[in-house]
Amino acid sequence: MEELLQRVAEIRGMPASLVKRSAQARADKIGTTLEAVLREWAGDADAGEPASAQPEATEPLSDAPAPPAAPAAPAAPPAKVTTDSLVQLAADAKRMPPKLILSSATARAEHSESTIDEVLADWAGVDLDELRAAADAAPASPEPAAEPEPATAAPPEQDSASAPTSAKEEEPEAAPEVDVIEASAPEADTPSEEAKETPGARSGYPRWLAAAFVLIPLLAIIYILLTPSGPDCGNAGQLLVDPTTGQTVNCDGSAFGLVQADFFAEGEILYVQCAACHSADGSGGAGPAFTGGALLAVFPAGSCAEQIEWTQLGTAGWPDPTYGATNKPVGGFGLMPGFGGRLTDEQVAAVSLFNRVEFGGQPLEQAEIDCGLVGGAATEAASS
Amino acid sequence: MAGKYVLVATFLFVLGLVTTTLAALQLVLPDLLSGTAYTTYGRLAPAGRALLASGWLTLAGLGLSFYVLSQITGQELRRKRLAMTALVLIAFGVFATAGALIGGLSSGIPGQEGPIWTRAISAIGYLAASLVITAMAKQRADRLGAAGWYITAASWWLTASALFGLIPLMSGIPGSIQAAFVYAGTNRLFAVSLAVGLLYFAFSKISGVDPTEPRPLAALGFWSLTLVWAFMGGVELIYSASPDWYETLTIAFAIAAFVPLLAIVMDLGLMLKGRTASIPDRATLRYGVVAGLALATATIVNFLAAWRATSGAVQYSTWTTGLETLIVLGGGSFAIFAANSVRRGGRASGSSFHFSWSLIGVAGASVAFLAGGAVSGFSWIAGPSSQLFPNYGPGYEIAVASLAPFLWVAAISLVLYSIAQVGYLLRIRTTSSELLEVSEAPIEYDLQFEGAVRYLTWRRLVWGATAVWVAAALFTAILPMMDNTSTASSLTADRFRTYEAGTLELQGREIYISEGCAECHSQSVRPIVTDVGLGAVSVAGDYAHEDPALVTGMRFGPDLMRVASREGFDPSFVRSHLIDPRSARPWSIMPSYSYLSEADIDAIVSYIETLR
Repeated sequence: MEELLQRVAEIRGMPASLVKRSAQARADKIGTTLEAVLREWAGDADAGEPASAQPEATEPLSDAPAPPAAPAAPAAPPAKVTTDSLVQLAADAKRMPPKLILSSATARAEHSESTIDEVLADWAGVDLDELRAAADAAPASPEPAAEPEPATAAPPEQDSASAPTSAKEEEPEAAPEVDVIEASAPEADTPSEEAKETPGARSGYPRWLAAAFVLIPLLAIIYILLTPSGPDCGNAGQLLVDPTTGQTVNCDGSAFGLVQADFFAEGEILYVQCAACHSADGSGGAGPAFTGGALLAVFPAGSCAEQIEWTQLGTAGWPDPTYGATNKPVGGFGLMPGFGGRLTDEQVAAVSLFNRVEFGGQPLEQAEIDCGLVGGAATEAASS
Repeated sequence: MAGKYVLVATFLFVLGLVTTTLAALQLVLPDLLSGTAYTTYGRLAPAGRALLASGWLTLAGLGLSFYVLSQITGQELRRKRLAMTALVLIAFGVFATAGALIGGLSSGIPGQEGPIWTRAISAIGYLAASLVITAMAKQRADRLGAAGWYITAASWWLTASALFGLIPLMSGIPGSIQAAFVYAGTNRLFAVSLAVGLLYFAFSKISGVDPTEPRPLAALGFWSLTLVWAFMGGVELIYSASPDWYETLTIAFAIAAFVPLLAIVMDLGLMLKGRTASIPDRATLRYGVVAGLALATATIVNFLAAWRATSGAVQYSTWTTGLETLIVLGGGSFAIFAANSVRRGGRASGSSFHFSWSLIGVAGASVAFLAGGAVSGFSWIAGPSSQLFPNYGPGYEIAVASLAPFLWVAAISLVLYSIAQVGYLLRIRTTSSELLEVSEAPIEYDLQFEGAVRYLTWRRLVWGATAVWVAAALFTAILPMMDNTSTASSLTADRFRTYEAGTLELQGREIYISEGCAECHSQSVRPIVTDVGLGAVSVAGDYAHEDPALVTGMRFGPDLMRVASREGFDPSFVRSHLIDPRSARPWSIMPSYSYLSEADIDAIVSYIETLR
């Protein structure tokens, strides 16, 4: 066990105590033993099975309770040599925030016509080729990017004397900024190349912030597109202005304060309840048809009141054996439910009006009088 | 030099607070000192605003900018003589503005009430101060850090906007929009970015972060803040006769203002994250946090005031006053307190007394203004929609009565705030410039690393800041002039609202301006429920012959756009109402204008008769 620990520490180039702590954290997280984790890190094949489950297990970044404690991460030898891992190594070597290292390296690389990786490796004090060879030789982890995770998972609030102390002091400050770069990169008016090349997202930085930076301007643009010339009448308290008098009026042009009821429209909405039996176009179904003069034959002009009563009572409540001008037998066609309990008198009148106008072909003004909904019934809200 | 600036600014601060508090008290005690022309509300209120915003905020801000830059660059202040000239010019300009306003020489332009020559003096002073700041900043051009960007850009925006304000206005609505742009530049863009710059400096000092450290989130915050606040002037013109596209633009940028809010709050938060407990300089920390909160609240209030659904339901007078309080006395003053606390080593005695009383004062005043605006706004809606009472004449009693308790709270809060400042000034003894030791070792950044300078180079700062300002000017000041619909005169304008030289009406209009009637009376009928019954909805053409148009959003008193064409209008009532407002309407909060001569009253009445 101790020997294993030493081996891992050597491979990873980090203090044994830190390795142990990281491994313990990993082990607790994925529910395996410390030894199994260490074996896996040491590259022992025989302890491979918990390792294969790892990448998924370590995914939930939110589990890491701590500020993204990158300090330990840089020391971990990357399974694959990426710019990210080199940045971490260089950052550790120079004891500077990774962000600065990367941006500096980018600039240096441009000037010296070498690659960023070379510059970083130089700063980290490692041989790039050697590192690459070592990485190739190491057993390939299913998801190399997840490799630095064990160190991140180590609870940094535990004091560890062996952890590089200066780095520990710096990192809580510097680490959030690493994430910050990514969030601002797509939005910043000064898109800096180095920002785009920053290592992948780490925990501790609220993801919603990046989303907000995109969403908010988007909302503003949507607002401009939707209301280029102010809101429509009725929106946001906006009223219509009569162009001749300049007075504010209701959206339908009536004087302000007058409530214009549109019974036909109301009836159209209420007809949905009738459409199950009489069909949406009034051609009938379980119930009789309204179209083709059928409705006005039963309830001719002047008898809307009877139609209203029939609708309210239905077959069960109708007192006589027949109904309508044609003396249709009650229940002859089927059961008509009574709507009196469900709809108000006015609503029944409105749906009757709709039936008569839409399917019976009665003129609107005549039907309105017929059904007792006089002249669009402009009722003055404030007259009382 | 920073000390001299702050000293003069403090003097203006006290003067401005006395004036503003007196004006606030006059809203609840209308007979307070209303016997003379020099102490009438309409003159005191704009004078107080000028002293606080252009005097205190600007001078203290510029002075502390010198200090911040000398800290950032590690150099002594350069061009001291020019800095001294700037101080003299700005201070003189502000005094002259306040004096002119109290003496009755108002220009009538909202936000730039001072006569053009006093504003010109100040503007030249701003220019001189900006040159000093630039000379300082250039020494470390590419490594200024967030504080440096904000401060440098803010001074130039102030200068550019103030100079632009000297260009004679267009008449009518385009002029109002132009004025709104200048106002946005001086009282919003400058005030907010200055406050944020000082906060960046104060927070980095107390937390041991290098203020010149390149912070990407700060760059995002900087550019988005400047972009949105440069377009913010039109909030008071929402629903007015200004072009719809202009209002839409204002609202869109009010929405977008949440980007800088989030970026800056997050960035400043990251500076302090995990180390608040170990910061020795508690005074600066407290001031800074309150300033940040005030600016965050201001962003939200600004959005609500611009968003049509809410703007139609609140009383603008109190909301614009509340917003102004939040930005100038909240964000601005507290950021100055924070930066000044750093300058004085964070150990001035009496700062906790000062802090708590100032906080209570600012919070009380702004909350009272905002809540009062909402309450009386709903009373405005209730009247017309129930058709029980209109929002003018005797019906205005409801609005006045519902607002009164809030105005009391606001006035008392302002008194508390003023007492805190005076008490603080009397107790200041220590002038140690030694900084309290920061317990944590400051982070060392090796500035030899080339990439560090890229977030904001000097070139980007100069060109970007110029571009933002020019774009704002183009969209919110130049473009409205080309909009035909807002320049062609209407029948009303040609027939009634035309003021020939030498007429009694023009004379009356001049008195209306000099006495600051527009401080309480808007001239704008909007197409929303609150304004039903006030007459025909205003169109841009109605103001075509007025320079400046007296639109405003202020309605401590009822709107006067069509007062003469309303039912029951009686010129003789106007006359008696001006002399003794509480004889017929005991609830009125209008000051008495008995100090005006008979001829002046005649002139005002004949002007009022043209408002049809």
